[in-house]
Amino acid sequence: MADVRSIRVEMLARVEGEGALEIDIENGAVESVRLNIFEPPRLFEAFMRGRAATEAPDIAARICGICPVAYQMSATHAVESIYGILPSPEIAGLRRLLYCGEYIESHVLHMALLHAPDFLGFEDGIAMAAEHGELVVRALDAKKTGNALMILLGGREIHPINVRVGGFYKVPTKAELAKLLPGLARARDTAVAMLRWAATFEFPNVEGDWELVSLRHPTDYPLIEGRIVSTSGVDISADEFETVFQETHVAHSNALQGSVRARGAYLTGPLARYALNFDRLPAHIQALAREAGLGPVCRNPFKSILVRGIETVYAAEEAMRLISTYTQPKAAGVKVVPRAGSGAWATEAPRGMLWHRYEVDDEGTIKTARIVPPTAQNQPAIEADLLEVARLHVDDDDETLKLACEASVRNHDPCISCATHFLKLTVNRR
Amino acid sequence: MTALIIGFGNPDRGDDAAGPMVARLLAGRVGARVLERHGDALALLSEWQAVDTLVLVDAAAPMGAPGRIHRLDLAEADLPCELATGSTHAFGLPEAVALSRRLGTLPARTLVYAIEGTCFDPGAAVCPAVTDAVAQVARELAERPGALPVARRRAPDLDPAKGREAL
Repeated sequence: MADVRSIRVEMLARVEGEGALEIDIENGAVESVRLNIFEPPRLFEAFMRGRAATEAPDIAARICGICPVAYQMSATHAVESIYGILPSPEIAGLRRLLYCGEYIESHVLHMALLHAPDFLGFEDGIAMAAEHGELVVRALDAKKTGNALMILLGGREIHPINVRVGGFYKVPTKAELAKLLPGLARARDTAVAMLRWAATFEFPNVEGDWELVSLRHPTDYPLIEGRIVSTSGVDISADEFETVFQETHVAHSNALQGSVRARGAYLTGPLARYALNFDRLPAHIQALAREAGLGPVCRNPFKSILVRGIETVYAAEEAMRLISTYTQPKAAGVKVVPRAGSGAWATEAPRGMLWHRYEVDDEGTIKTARIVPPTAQNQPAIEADLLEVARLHVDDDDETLKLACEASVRNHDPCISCATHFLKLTVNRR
Repeated sequence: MTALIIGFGNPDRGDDAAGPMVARLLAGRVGARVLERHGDALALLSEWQAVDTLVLVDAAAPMGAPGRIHRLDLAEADLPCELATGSTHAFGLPEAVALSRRLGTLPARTLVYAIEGTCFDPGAAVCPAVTDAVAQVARELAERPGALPVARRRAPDLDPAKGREAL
């Protein structure tokens, strides 16, 4: 008679969205792992059909509360690519600055309140705060600085409304931006402190062999622009995305799952950006990474907390650089003249690459829209991680196994709400 | 002695405007700093540093009695977790209060007025029962010296319609 063991996580904590996790164990061996995403489809691509392409940035920004800038930026630049609009250096700088704000608030929140408790044995960030209060307070202050950037440049911290096709509705003065510099300097110091703190954590000895995919820019650490590259030799423009990557439907998930047509699962996000762009980090940040125990490539998903620390340091310093070199443009944006065509763009959301494509008619009405969020792309890789982690913990009791699997999912800071367009765990032991 | 009243909620989402409406009715009329806030509640923690008395006014999810006022003293207990948002991307008041208590920054006296709403649709009007409850909460906060240091003993002319217009 087979030894059947069923473990079911009905609602995974500290990830965004609704989903469940099911693990089948037969005679002590993990047979399969399924990430069941039951968050209903959100149908944003259908909402956009028939709307003006100039509305795409505001509609797309509503997809996510933590990375609305990413959605806004991919949408804006995709439409601008159709209309032949090239942002001025000042506008491009402000958009990169806005993106830095999103990186700071998203990464700091994940490091301090969502991810760190997994390594320190706390139920959540609130419980952890009783023992690590000073760091949590500093993290909240850094998050507030990220929010302040979002408010000044985006009009508000959640679902910003100040970015438009062709530029911004309103641009800040140099003096308004300069007021953020002390907070950004503190955020930078906090990120360094959090990185050094996280470097003391004990990390499971796990490595993923996923193909890593991210943007790569000729000179900068990628946020808003670049070619799509991978550790297996992909080097394409955003327009070519669908020739290399595909999304497929699986029965156990409402989110589509991304794969490389020729090879299968791949991973986007901090580990991919870092591995493919380590040489784009300033030398002193590379040195910080080495001090934290990271090489130029990190394939241990649990160590993504360290990479988020590196990226937060970078984002804070980049924001300070952009403010110090800022010159207020004479115009907040350029006139938009609609024309028929299609265009695609990818940017780097904090949790991974976000690709958009739009087709518009000659009046500027959206005929089709396609949005491929990072968590949909990462799902197969997350399931592959889960399989390895479940095998490592298969002899543990169900509660230990469940906690390890939840932590494995949180390594990737998934946004299931975005991808469907939360999580339950079931382990079936037979 | 410092006091802070925060009306929390999105003024453009139907009955979620209850908190901001109370704040508008009380601003400048009570011996307390009065703020309107919405969005990420974690950002509120820095607002109530060095505050002795904190009053949070928020809309509550429908529980069968629109306009019903729940008065909670958080001296001992956190807000019920059923009131949490369930989102990791935008922490709500329950998480903010619980985190502040663990950090030792929750004001010694923290009161919550939660007004049950019925409709939170974007652009929806505030329902009459919630409008009445807004006036009731504002009147209580203005009249109860035990809860807050009151600048004027006489209750201000609290017209909820004015609060709504101001939004």
